Amino acid sequence: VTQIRTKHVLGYCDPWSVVVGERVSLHVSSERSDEFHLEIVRVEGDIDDVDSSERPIPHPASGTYPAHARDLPSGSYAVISDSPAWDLRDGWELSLFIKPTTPDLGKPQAIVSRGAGDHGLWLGMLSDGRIALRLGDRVLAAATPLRGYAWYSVVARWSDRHDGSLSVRPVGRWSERPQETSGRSRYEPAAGPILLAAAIGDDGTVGQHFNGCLARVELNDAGGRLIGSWDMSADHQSALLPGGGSAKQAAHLVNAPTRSIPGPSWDGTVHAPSQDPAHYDAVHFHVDDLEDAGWPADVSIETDVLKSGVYAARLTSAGETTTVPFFVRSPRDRRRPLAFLASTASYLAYGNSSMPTTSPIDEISSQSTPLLGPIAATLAQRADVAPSLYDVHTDGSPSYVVSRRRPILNHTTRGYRWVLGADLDIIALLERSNIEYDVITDEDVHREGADALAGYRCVLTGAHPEYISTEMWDGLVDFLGHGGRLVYLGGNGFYWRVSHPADRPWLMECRRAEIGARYTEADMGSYYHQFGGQYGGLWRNVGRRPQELVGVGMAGDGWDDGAPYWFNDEARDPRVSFIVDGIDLDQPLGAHGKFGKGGGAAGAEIDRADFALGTPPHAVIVASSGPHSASYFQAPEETSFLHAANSGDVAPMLRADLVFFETPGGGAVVSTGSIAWAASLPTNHYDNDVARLTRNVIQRFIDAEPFTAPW
Amino acid sequence: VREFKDSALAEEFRRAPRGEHSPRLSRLLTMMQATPVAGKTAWVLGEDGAYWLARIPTEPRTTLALVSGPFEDTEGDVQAIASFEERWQAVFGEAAP
Repeated sequence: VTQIRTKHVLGYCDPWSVVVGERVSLHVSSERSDEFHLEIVRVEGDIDDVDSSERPIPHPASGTYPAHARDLPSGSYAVISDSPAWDLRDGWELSLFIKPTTPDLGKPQAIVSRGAGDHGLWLGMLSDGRIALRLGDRVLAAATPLRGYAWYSVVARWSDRHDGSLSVRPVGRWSERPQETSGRSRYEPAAGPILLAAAIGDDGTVGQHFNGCLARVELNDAGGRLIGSWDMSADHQSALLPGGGSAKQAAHLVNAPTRSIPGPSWDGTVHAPSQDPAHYDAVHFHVDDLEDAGWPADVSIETDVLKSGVYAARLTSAGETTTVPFFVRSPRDRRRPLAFLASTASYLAYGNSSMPTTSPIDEISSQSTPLLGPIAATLAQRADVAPSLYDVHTDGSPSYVVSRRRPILNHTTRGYRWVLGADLDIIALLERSNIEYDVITDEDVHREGADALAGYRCVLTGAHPEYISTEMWDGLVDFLGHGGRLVYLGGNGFYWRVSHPADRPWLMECRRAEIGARYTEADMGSYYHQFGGQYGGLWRNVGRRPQELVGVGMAGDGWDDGAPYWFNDEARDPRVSFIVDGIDLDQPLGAHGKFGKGGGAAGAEIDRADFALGTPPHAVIVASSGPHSASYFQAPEETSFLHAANSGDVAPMLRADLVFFETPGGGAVVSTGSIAWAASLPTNHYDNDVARLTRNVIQRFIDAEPFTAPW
Repeated sequence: VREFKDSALAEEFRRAPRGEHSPRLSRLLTMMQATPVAGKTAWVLGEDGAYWLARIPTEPRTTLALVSGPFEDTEGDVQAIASFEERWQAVFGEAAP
């Protein structure tokens, strides 16, 4: 019997995107060797041709470095600095609300702790799901385990007569009996910080993380005076919980626990924290939250010798190779006419997804037993890499917040034709066609808005620009309103709203409210983002429909094979002659490709035009796809009721539309409305109808000659 | 799903694991695919360079356990039948007839 092949060389770059001249820090862990070799490679080709697509760049950072095996410090908690105010030798009362989400985790979980190991104060869950108060060496435990996902009011007391007590009362009617326990306890205050949702072990490391929600944590002295409290209803964007009571010591949240969630008083009368913060006074901690791996930087990569493009730090250690991508932008005064907008928000959203081993959808879609390569096998077995936006946490709750400051194993330039791996087909087309381009990223547009796009005549999206922040949307609208040209080379784009906190741009949040094609959904009452307070979910449902921006919006998805497009009569309109130049309009378009077993340029997730949903009235629907298979289904938001005609073989609305329209100021948009489009570019060495049409559009869109709208 | 615990369906699959199946076998395969992932098997690559079937743990993101192998690839009929028999065991709680 052998061992399962997994990844042992992990790394991440910070930041993901820099302007030429700025530095990228590289953070590496290698478990099987005490050194790693680094090459800086420019990524110029698709994933099927690694040898030629990763071009090593002569670079001063290339070389051999010492390697270390590094842990990931996952698990969120709150830390409150040490203070004499916590000593309270005359007695104290600690009260709070808890909602354990894995009470029977099989190992202890700390809820409130002060002092290391068996000293000091520890309130938490025992391995069997009972709540217990440990004072020094005495444990006062409730008699029966708590229920998962139920709120409880907990009061722990200690008096200077060495009496300890623990009271647990369920919140709500018709639930279980309250539990009380008490006993003599020889307790001495231990110096050190107070931790919520974790404890410091004998070795000084933070552990015993807690899966669950806490609210209204208050510490009173023996006379009933409030010494410390931590306001979980205030400023949900912040990593600080304001401190109340006489101590006024704030709590610092570590590893980005989830906020803007209903607290014990939530009764459904409000749905936004801004409506009544008192209903949203809880924090949900997870054992697998991870904001920042915090590994020391092994290399600081200079970029002044690089030109704009997609790059990777290629790490080799103990015979294993790992590529860690990063993106280099041009300075403002050296921008080329064309920019490829790397969908970094999508790359991050999918980061470390373990869907094949957590959801049957993968097997149903592929109709075959999943194959877990080394990356997927690693993700299947490690919770410490933190979940993607497609996963649930280990307690089953949805994942809303993800970070790029951690190794993201499937954010790679190899072997995975999805997100970045799919976008490399577009990069390869540009390289092979000798079309000069810059690379910019979603995060740049989010941070800088239209400034990130200024100077470009044409912007190309990737195959799946699914996640868009309000700032990104505004930036693209501004760009298009001033003569910019946009080529949306993907499907299921401009779909979910995301947000980033300004002071922690490495974090991204998405809450899948109400409806949409989604593997996980936001919990009831949790539809508003903690970062910025905006309502989450589909752009279609928050007043900005993708059809208004790019002419098409999500129609549905399927995973067996794609279908070709067929040209409509409108394809002969002189306004679009530049698009179809040299292409036979009587033949199917894109009846080939690398998506599925049989290809088809319209596949995976596809978007359609709809004038009622905002497709501009002067838009030309150049081509439409079909027939799709019975394995395709309409997106949930496309139908109010499920029935036998929702599948791709019979639903007329389930198609990809190739759309063109002009914008004010001489700009224009072309949208292909299909994720699989990019996977049809490589056919016949990038010499085919899909590649030709794409080149036609790019060549015209980088031409200064303005477009004229037909009105 | 019990109505599909039919040795004729197992025989049909073993006879021709690939390509078109009868409507009843197709339904059974889809139902097998749709059951929860925990406890099912997936293909993994071994350090020996071969492919193995491994059991997906009940607790997410914990250890995969090898259950059968080695196989040279995942595409052959023998491999498909091995995977089918694992699914049969998971769905019906007994070995495929």
